[in-house]
Amino acid sequence: MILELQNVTKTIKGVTILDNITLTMQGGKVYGFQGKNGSGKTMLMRLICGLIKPTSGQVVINGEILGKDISFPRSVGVLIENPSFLPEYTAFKNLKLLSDLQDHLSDDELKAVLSNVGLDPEDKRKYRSFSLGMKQKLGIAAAVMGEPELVILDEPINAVDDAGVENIRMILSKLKESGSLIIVACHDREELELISDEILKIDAGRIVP
Amino acid sequence: MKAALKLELRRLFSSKELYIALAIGLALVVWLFVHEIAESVRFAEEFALYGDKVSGYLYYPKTVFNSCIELEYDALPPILLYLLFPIIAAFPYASTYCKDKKTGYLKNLLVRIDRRDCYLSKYIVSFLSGFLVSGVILLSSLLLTMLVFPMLTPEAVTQNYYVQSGNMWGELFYTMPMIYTLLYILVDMLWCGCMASFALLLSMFTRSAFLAVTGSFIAFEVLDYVLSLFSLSQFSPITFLRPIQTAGGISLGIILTVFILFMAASFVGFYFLERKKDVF
Repeated sequence: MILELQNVTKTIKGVTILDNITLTMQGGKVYGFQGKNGSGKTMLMRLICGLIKPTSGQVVINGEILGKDISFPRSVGVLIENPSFLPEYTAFKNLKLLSDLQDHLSDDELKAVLSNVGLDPEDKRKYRSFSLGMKQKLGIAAAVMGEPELVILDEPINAVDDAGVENIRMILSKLKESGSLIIVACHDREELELISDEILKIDAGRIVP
Repeated sequence: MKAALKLELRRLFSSKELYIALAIGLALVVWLFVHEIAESVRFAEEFALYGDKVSGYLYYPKTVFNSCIELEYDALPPILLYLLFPIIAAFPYASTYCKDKKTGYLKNLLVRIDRRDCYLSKYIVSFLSGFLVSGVILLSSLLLTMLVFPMLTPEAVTQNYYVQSGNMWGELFYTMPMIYTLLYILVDMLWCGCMASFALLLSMFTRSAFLAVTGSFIAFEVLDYVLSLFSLSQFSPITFLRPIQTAGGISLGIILTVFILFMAASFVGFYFLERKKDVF
């Protein structure tokens, strides 16, 4: 997996959110994005997922131009901002619905993903009754199920307990070993340094040294 | 595409909004049914008491074709049903797009399925939701009425029917009333699908499900009012939806032309414009 950002700029209503970013990232590594609120981390993640289009420049994933050759990365797991699922379904059912859109994972595989993030696969409670931490864990589970080649996590340890954080570290380490490219944005500098192979600082929409 | 359609259909059939819309429509159907039976009994009793005493007092029974919700004129339930159809049609599903945007669930979909498939499946299921809800309500009324009332072929001379012979398909009503009723139900189902699609179009501009659904209702009511000011009520969906045709000059050409205009507007807006927008 090779992800290239080529002179990417994003302007919204005359305000430059991302400013001429050129970057190459490769599989088997964890990239940590660090920056203040509003520095452009989340916007950059949205752009890499294909949720927003660059005003100029392009995102190339394994040689394919995002928004031209493909509308979203072929194998991607995403958790951006708050996790969001259908409130009337259980954690398992929510994962099953999303998996049926693309990966078609077996029930056992889905249950294993839930267990790995510290959720009970047999829990019959609906998503609407989940605590903040449980919602976050389900968001992580959805992002990593099927071991996608590209994993994008925005503030993954928000509201997660210590045991949960440990689980997330293990999952990311396993994904890295399998060759996934992992992008993480996190306010906790120590945590980011712990899990990242490379830290990229973003300020005012630019990658700064 | 198949997977996206399957997900959206599953969401439709498991949504409480679908069952609330059906419950409202069916409550109106049952209300009318009870009202029509009471009326029928009252007529029969009056005739038994005075029929032979008053000269020219004719008894003509209530029939399926002036008692079902489609063909009854002045009772409150059909007036309410046809007035509320834009809401009943849009309520089950059209607001899900607003919710998906607001909660962020849309992001979950757009990183797993192609944008074209995602927006097209939402458009199709939205149309289907209005089509099905209206169909269930209208056919229930017809079937319920058929359980009790006779299916006499309407006779214009009795002045017991509300469809004018000069109206669109008027001749059909007085010769093959069941075909007329079923055809009109199909027209209504298609139009309710169109109303749900129109609400989906409005959901492009708001994250509030309430505004998307009520916005569609208000838009159709305002259109009806404005057209009536210019004596053009035959072009108003609110008017031509009623099989008794409360305005003159309604034709299949008008119904289809307005239908195509609304469908095209909602399709172009939602499928071609909305899917190209950034998702935050």
